[in-house]
Amino acid sequence: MKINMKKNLVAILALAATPAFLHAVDSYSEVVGYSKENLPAGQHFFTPSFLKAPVYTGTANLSGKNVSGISVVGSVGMTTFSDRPNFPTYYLEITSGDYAGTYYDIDSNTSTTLVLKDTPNTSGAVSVVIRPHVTLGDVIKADSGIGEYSDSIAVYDKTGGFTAYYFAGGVVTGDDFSTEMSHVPVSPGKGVGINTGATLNVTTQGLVRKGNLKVPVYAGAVNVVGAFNPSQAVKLTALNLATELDAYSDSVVLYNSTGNLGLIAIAYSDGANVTNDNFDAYTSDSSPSVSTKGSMLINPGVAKYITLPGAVQ
Amino acid sequence: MKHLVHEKLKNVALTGVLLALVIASSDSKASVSITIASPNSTSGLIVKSDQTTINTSGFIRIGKLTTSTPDATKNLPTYANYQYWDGIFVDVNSSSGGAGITPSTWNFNSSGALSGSATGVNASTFSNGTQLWVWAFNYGSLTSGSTGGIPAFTSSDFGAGKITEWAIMSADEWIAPADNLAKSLVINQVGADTVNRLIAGIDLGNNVAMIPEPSVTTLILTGLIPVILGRKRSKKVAL
Repeated sequence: MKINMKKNLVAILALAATPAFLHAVDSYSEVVGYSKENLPAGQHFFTPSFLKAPVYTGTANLSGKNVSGISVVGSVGMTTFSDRPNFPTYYLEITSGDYAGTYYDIDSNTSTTLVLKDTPNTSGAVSVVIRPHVTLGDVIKADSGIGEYSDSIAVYDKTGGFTAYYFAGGVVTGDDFSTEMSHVPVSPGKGVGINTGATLNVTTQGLVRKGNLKVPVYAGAVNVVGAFNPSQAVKLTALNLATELDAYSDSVVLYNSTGNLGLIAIAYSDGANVTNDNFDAYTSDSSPSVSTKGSMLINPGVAKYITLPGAVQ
Repeated sequence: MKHLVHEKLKNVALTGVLLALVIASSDSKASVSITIASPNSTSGLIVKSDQTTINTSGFIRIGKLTTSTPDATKNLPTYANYQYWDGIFVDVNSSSGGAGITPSTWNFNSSGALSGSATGVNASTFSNGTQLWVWAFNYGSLTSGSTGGIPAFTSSDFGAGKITEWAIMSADEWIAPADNLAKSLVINQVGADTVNRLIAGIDLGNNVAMIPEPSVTTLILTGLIPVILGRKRSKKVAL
């Protein structure tokens, strides 16, 4: 089922926020959503919450970085610009087995095969889906109120560094304010840092995720992870952090969304529960939440996956 | 016994908390990126006092001041004043600045524009909320894109054909960002502030003009005044 968002955007959001709606869409895989978040002037960690429509859904055979048995039309590999940095445009997500929800950027392809950027943790026949990445150009648009030449968007890498992008001439650019960088991908579940001088209206739209997503986080990196739920805030206790975080060491930091990055909470795991920074277990009532416009900063001691439940199960 | 075990675990836990807080607060490699922008060849520029573009000679420094009350009377581009400002200016490219890599594009290009980011700026030295300043020179250049590229001027670098003009400015919006975020400085923002942050320079709306040193001509004219007055006074005495 596809909901016609052009006809009834407000109704979609109202319905999507109710448990009844979530239950009602259980049997459907393609729920379309639309969200407009107002980020006050200041600094934010923001994660887009939607997916793009798949170009392939079916089975695939994995062997190292090589994938066969799929069918796609045209290129789903890296961009091929000669005048700017290139990035992945599509990713393959495994949807069956123990590693369901993990995803891998696509380096190159033929109509029936792929070469991935990294090696999946599993091999053999699995169910997969291939989708385009959401990009900075999808998130930051000319009508968002972004300040040209002054507001910035930070995209973080695996090693603790980041690259800042700006907005000039109506498009996302590099720090030369002329090279268009709208094609920079924002991986599923991952967020960006935004520094804005005035209220930023971030309008995103697309498919509401169904099923768990496993987001990789890295030691020493700035891991901005959102709840990936466009309709409601998600309690930390509703995630699998209690078992996925290393007890008493990995941390989750939550900031407010008012623009000053005020600290809401630093949370840990005691191995069985999500706790506060005194290692007192949160209950579902006392647990802080990741808002629809907020994100978590996760600091693991070693690389691991954080599972984000789908907004639609 | 159960209580003792609990206490022991709590101690382990507290150790864990301390370690985790270090991780949580430092984010391992906390740094910020600071960028300057000239939107185009006619806006967001730092120009010479006659409002012509700098045109390849000259460069800028970006940093913070170690005092919140800089001496605005030391605004003219003389070597003595340079020593004063150099003494209170912490450059993003200094060792304490965290070896932020100053881009070569902070030299003026042929149209007088500036662009580029200093990445890896120390987020402790330039903590969130730090007021950022731009110090622009009409002479000299960044010698490389790495730490140490800022020239150290001597008295011989001041005067005709060398440093004759500069600008020192900030803006209310020029605030260092939080860890792992970026900030872009736009010259157009200078002058629209409730607090005067244009120490040396003339606000031209979208651009800022440098101010010149006391020129040799000015000094000569200034020096002639007492001579003329002295001659008149002498004449009166003669009468």
